[in-house]
Amino acid sequence: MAELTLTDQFTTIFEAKTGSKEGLSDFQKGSFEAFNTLGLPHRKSEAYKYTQIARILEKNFSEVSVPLETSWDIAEIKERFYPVNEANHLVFINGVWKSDLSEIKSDANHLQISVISESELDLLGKVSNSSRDPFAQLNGAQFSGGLFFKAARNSDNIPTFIYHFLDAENTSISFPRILIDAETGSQTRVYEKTFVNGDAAALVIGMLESKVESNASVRFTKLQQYPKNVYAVEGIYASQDKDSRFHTNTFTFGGAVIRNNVVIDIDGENCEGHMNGLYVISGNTQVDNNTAVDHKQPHSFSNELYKGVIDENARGVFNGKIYVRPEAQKTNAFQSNNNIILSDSATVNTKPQLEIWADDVKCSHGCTTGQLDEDAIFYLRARGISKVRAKALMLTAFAVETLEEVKEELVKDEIESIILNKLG
Amino acid sequence: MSKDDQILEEFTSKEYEHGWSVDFEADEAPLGISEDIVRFISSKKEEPEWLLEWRLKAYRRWVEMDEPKWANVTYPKIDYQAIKYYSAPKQSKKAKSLEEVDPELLKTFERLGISLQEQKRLTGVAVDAVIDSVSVATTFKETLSELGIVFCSFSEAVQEHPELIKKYLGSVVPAADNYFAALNSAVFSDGSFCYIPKGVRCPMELSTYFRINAANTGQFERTLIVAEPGSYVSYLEGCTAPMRDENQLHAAVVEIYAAEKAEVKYSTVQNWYPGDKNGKGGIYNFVTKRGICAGDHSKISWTQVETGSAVTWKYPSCILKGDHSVGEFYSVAVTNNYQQADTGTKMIHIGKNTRSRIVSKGISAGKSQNSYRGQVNIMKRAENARNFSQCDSLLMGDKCGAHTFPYIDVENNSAQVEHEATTSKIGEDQIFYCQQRGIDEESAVALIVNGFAKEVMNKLPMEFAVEAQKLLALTLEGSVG
Repeated sequence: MAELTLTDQFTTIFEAKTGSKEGLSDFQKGSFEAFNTLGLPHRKSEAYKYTQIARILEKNFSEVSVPLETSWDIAEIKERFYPVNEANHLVFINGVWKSDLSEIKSDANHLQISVISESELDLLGKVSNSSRDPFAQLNGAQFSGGLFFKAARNSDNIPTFIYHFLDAENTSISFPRILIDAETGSQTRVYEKTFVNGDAAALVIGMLESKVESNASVRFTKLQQYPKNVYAVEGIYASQDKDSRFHTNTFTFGGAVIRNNVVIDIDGENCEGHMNGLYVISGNTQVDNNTAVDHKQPHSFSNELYKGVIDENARGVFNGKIYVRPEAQKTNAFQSNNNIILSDSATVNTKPQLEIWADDVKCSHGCTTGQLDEDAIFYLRARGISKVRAKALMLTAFAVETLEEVKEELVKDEIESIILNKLG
Repeated sequence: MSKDDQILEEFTSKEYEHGWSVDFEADEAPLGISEDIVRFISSKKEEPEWLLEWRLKAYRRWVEMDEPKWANVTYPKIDYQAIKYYSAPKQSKKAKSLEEVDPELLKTFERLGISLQEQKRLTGVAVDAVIDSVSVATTFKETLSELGIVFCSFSEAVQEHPELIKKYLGSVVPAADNYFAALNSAVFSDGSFCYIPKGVRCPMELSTYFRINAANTGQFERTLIVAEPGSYVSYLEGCTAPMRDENQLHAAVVEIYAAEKAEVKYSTVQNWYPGDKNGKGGIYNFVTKRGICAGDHSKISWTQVETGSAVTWKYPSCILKGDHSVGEFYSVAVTNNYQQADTGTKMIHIGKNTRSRIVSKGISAGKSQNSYRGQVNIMKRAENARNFSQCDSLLMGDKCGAHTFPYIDVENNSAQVEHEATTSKIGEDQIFYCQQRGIDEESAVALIVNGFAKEVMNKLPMEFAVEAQKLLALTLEGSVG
């Protein structure tokens, strides 16, 4: 029998669901159709120029399925929670939200946490424009047990921690999906991290959508501390109404091939959009951060800071796009990408991109790729600090700048210790 | 109507100054392209067999290729069968001196402001003038030949220096490099050839004055510059074209070969007809320009001032192969009305300690779109490579666009690469500051724009700087307030 292509396998998974008791919504059918039309990004696709995603996935996932059973036990899961009492702890197992394993402290009147149901399907996929992202469509077709957040008007919410548990004893795939609806004046903070059991190749096709209504604030922090058998294509799509704020922080410390698509649509005046990211990678890890801010309305501000430290055979890719539409006068948009290469065989590909159609704007981008400043290291050594320590000090200082927007001390400390561990 | 609008109106209603055409008896090929046309052009030029083969090979590859779509420009589909690929001004016999040249031709140059006699007598610039597709007169040949410098039309070089042409043609831009280069390789009509022998410093600026004439004539020049070890040359290229309604295709190829310790400076002022204020007509400028720093310590420097053409698609590049070689790119691109420009550079660092510098200034006005697209590639063995890129955009008016697409690929950990880009408009406070000091608004704008572009303008040779500044002022006069 000829080997099945990845797309064939997706079809098999999809068709298996048709017969299941959950059935399929029109949204999922539509998404699957859209995915089939778009197809996996082909070899010459500009958006995947440096990450031949289709080839990589075809090679590593000749047979793939969503694990039906889990080897994680409840005690083990609860142990992984951050020791914060006043917080929601939500558990996903293999991409499916498990309400019975989760601890919800929020008042449902303030923060509604539930499975994405029929009534929210209308919002799904429409919050911002992910129609041309094949992986977003694939997630839309395949996900089950997605998570829906609704922050009520003017609610100031306690933090929510999301924990993903993956089983990778056999080649597996998961499709986590999160939808955040932040109503006017609400404040939401979400943190996400992942744990993996097993050494077989695991593929995560994730999707987060966030609707940020006027004067609302959403902060989202993602920690990707993946072992080297994890492949991930994860999307963060947000659309902002007037006077709103949206922050994303993405920290990547490992994995096989990680692709992050972050897209913010600024659809109202006086918005603030922030995207920060850090990738400290080594081994054969490849991280591809693809971001876009689309300024559609005037008087908004966006800022983007991505930093990378790349060692051994790793490859860091950054592609940042800023669009400023003709209507979006008085926009301020900034973007910065800095990389430090530590080894001969590490590679950096960066493509900061500006597309501007409005004249009264201030936009800039800068990117640098280099190594540590020899003079600064000499300065430290002249003061009796060993070369190794001096380097560690410099690299850590370089990396922690991206932590400034992480407000939860526990998470901040954890990331800081990972950085110290990797670079110290 | 405010004063600004008035100035804008005045300027935009200004017709192209160099818009006229002179009737020559052209010796033309029929419309369209085929193997026969390629053979026709080759036989017209009395070319050797190997060159015909080379052209045919390029043509066969071209037929299989697709027109590139990735550039940030839109234009109606080009009908390659509706273009005349060869058109030569008829002359009874070959001119031996300027006196024998068709007086009509000489008048053309006078109207453009470069009388050959004057050039010869006063400026000390050798001019290889191209009207349509055949070089008409070459001056200062003797002075140059005393030094061993070859500076002649391409067809002449094919006859007189076949060994050099055979060695270097296609060595930097292979025949099938890209769609337009392949087309050029198949049907190139003429161009310039320049050879600087070992250790010779060319005593004058070499210049080609391009000019497109005759409706529906695509112009396909081919320029080849070879600088032997330790030599130096500064090469100038400039152009203006008459007003036409139909779009004219221009697909040129420029190849530069710099051997050890050689330096080549290539400057362009491009002012082809940009189309009228409604975006009708204008030249399509799809050019492949590439230089290779083949030897150690060699240097190639591109300077360009782009103000014309309806659509520009041009990326003068440097392959830094030799150790310690240097590549430079300085560009000012101005677009107005419905012009579109997608221009930039590629710096490919292969050798150790190679350096490159990119300074690109884009100015967009009217309803134009101006893009910078560049690539900096530091290969694995390019130890201590260094690059600095800066691309700034200035927007005038709220209907134009400025775009930046830089690609930075680094595979070596000792490399240092920096890229900076900004987009802004002329600040009200800047204008106010000037006005406070008694400088009127229009002069203030000119001052600021000139200051914005100065870093690039300074790199132009004297002869060109004047023309370029005039062009810049003319193109942008009163575009903002």
